[in-house]
Amino acid sequence: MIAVFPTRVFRFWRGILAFASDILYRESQRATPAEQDLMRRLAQRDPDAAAELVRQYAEMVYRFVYHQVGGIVEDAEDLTQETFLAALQSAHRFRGDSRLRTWLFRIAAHKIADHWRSRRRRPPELPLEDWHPTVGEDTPSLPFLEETELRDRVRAALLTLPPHYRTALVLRYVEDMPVAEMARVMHRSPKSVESILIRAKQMLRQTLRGTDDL
Amino acid sequence: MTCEPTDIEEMLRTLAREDVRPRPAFIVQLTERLIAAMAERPRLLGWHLALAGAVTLLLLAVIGWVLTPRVPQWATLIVENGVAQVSWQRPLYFRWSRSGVTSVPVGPPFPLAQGDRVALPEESAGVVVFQDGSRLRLSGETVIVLEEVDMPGLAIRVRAEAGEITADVPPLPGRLAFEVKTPAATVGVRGTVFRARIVAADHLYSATDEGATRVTLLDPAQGYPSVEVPTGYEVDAVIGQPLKVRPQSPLVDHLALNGTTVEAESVLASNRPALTIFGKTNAGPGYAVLLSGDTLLDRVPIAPEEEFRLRFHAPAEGEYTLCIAVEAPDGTRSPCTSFLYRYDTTPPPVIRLLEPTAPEVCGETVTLRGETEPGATVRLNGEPIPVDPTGAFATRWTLQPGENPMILEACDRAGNCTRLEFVLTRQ
Repeated sequence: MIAVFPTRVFRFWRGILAFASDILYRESQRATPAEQDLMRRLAQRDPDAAAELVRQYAEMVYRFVYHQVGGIVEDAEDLTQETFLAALQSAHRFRGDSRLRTWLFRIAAHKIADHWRSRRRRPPELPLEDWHPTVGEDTPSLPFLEETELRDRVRAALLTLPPHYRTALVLRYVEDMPVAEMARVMHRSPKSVESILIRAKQMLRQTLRGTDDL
Repeated sequence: MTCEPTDIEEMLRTLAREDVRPRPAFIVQLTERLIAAMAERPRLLGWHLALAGAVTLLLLAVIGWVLTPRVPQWATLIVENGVAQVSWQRPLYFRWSRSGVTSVPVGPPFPLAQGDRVALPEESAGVVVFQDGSRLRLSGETVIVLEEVDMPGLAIRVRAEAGEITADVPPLPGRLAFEVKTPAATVGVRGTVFRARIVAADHLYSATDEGATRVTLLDPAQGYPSVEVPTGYEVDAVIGQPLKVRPQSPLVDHLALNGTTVEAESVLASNRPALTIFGKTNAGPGYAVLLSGDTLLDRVPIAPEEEFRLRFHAPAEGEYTLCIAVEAPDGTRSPCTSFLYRYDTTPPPVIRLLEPTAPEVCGETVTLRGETEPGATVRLNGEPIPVDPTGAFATRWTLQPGENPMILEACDRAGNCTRLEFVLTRQ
């Protein structure tokens, strides 16, 4: 009994601390008063609020979308516009439970998923030679790739992944978003997001290598 | 030699370092679009209306179904694949709902009544089972109407409007009749297995697999001629043309290449010139013939057990389209069962290795990537490795420290092989 008691106490206080840190984290992730005010004005159809929303968030949303549509400017612009129009339509439903950035990314993620699903678009099939430049007999070795070429390869490989894998990788490694916030964007638990990240990285690695069994 | 960067997170961060900004004109346009959207009246929530409509329709459908008097079940429809559409003409209390269409998915048997129209869209299949045990197997894009039933006389008449059906009718006693009627002709039986396909409004194809059928051409100008189609025979009933019965195409069972048995395929490649074709037919006595174009290559009598064996010897390398047909005693010839025989003694061109690019490699494993003739199989040190249809192959191989002798072998479909031998040194 004496030996068990300290363990129980430890577990109790560890639970209390986890609970408290969760509450603190949730509070830190709530919309700021300025964000709530902006969305309230947007819901009241204030043109200045629309201009402010675009000024503050358009670049961020555009970048998020751009990397998930293979860097196609037209598609990125269309989806960014659809995201902001949807945000305008839903402004009255913004409760401030999450940061405005998180809320906008969540809408954008839905729009991107719809983009691939409803239009039945599939990423282009990439032949093997696109991944590995043909090396002639007089070319002794494969040089390191330039960053631009590497970026193009990564962007093309991202297109072959399922949309939620792509979203997870872009949020984590391009937008540098913490897993907890990603979970809110993707409507999943943090554990689920972590496992998606692991699988997405594996699949991306396989794609960049060219075959499934590598 | 150099190695590619492998840190996937670092590769992803190259995207973060890219300077991605929307066009200034787009920002202006987006702002204007949002402000314009604000000025628009709030859109009516279309989905609310759609939902209300759907619920109303659902309620009406339930009321209609409840009030529908049950009609005697005449047959059942078993949908094996996809969805069938049954248009029904059943008496209902409400005048406006005297007919309807229902979708029947794969599942339990669906009861059918006289007058029902069954339509199977593409990629669907189903079976109509009648009370007497006879069956109609329906392929995709088939439409039939259960036109007439005379239960005391046990007569079944089905009108086929499109598609292909296979009827399996048990031997019928007494007055029982089973008839499939198409715009061009009728096929009537008293117990058999037959197939009928509506090629066009004025063209019915019918083949008898067991028993015998009688096909009547619905052509008043010719006086409604009819013909009996025995087992193994088929007929094309075309309005305006005489009825001609001919044997069905034979079945090619298997092939033998210099004593080695191979499965019959539509395209066969080999590096051996001699080929023996084993086939079957149920058209009764007659001859099996082998043709290439109009040239008769072999002709043998069909054995009593309805089997035959034909021989072919390719005179030179190349492709030969071979036709196997059955010839009736009166000289009538069946359509061809054709396949392409490619006699090829040329091995695949030299295997091209794209990766690794140097015989010295770093690391315990190496990725081997290359290309050869499309359709060839590739083995590395005797182990088969994946090859895509274009001939590109890739695999990962574990290396021992020091020198590793490697043998890459590519073999085409005809069995001709090419070897590439080299040594990889693990550093």
